[in-house]
Amino acid sequence: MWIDLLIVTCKVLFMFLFVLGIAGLLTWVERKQSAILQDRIGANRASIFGVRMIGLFHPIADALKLFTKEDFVPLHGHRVLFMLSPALAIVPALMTFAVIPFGDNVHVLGREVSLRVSDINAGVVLVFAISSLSAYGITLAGWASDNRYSLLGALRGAAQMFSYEVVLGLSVVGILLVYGTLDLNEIVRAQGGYWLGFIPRWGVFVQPVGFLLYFTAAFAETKRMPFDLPEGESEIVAGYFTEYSGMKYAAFLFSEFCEMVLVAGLSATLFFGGWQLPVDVARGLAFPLVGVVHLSGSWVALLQVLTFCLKVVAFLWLLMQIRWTLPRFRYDQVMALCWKVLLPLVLLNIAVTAAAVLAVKG
Amino acid sequence: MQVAFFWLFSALAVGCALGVVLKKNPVVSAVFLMGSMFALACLFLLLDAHFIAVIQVLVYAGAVMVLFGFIIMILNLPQEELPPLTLGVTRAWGVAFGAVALLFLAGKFFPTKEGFMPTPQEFGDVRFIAGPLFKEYALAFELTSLVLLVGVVGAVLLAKRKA
Repeated sequence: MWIDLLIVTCKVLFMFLFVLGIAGLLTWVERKQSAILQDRIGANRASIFGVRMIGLFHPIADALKLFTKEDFVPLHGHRVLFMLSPALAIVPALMTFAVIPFGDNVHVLGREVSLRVSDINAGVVLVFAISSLSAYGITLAGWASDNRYSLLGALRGAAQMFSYEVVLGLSVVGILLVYGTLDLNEIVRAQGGYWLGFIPRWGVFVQPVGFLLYFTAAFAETKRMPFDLPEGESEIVAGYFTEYSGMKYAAFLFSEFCEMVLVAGLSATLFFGGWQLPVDVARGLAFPLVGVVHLSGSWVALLQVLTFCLKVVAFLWLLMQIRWTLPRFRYDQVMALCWKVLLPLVLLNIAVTAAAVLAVKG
Repeated sequence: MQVAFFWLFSALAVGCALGVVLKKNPVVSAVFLMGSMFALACLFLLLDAHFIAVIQVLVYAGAVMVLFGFIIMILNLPQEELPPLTLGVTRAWGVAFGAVALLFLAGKFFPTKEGFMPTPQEFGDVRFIAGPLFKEYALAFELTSLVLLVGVVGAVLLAKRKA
């Protein structure tokens, strides 16, 4: 009983530290990567006794600033909902990581432990269910602020998230049809092994269109640059969080970064083999001069966790790169893209996949 | 531990449901309704019905309630225009019917001496729901979607006529 509780606590801690740590680091990456893209130097001013650490102290300086800033609450807004909505934005973003596996089952203290927080068998659907709740944070924030720009941002955000959720949910149906399970760990296990001995059996090779559709829709759900209409600085000040300051504002910012980590994690899990290593460790690793090295179970588990983390980081890089490359859409373009382009494509993808699965499996 | 969670989420569900009825502000009511649905989903989770719990959150709390909130916010009624909460004749009828329904349900579902009915082995699994839904009741299922489609077309038609 106590050992089980301890194990679960460890897993929860690992996931929280991983997600929040990366999200905190992303505030720095955002500045540095954009600086590199735009041929600037970027954040490098914050220093402790003259040590600058390529700007790595900036997240700490930011946190200090945000904590000590005036916590403003609009006079005519709805006070309780105004306080509640940043929490409603960040909690779903953190909760979804409960079902994402970061490694294969391991044996610890005489019991088999799955390396994910919760073993819910409808994992994929749970992720979408919980992340659909984050729309509340936005809509309520906009409404409770008693500000027209906020309300406009909230309405835009609700409409956009609602529309893209349809495409997002349908885009993974192809993967579910192929692997025949809703369990994320089962999906990752099915992606082990190779075609022709060297192409990993990743989902992206079976569902390339599905992946592109998923990635686009998920990107729109994070409300980042080409899709950041709910924020839209050039049109509606800062959209739904215009009235927010201090740590409440930071909660919205952080929930955006956490959603990025989620998108990266899910892309890796569903389409890029999750914790599956790109090399076959069961046969041992062959090094030149050293020979073949066989790894024990715990080393393999560690490598798997590292592989998952690396895949997440690679996707985060891609997400950043897209965000600083593309300009913002017009609002009608965002909606037209969703309902007139992505939705027919995603339905076609399902029909074709279903026919193919039927033809292969009979 | 399960019993403790049951009471916690039940209290949350009932409390939020009361909030929906008693709060004057429609947006606050909508938030309470969302909370009530979420607590219900947690109760489903306690019953090992993972899929139903998840669908409860996805469809009702995540989709239907967001649309509700959307519409309430677009209307954005000023506080003064809302009628005061008094115990009128209609509300008295409502309370009476509610009490009768509660008694009926309590008589029907109160645990007997044998306790609750045991759940089947694969209860809550997606296959357990999908099998009957797409095999035995496939026709009814598809007809339901047709009804929903007619509803959507009707709504669009009504909205267009005004312009």
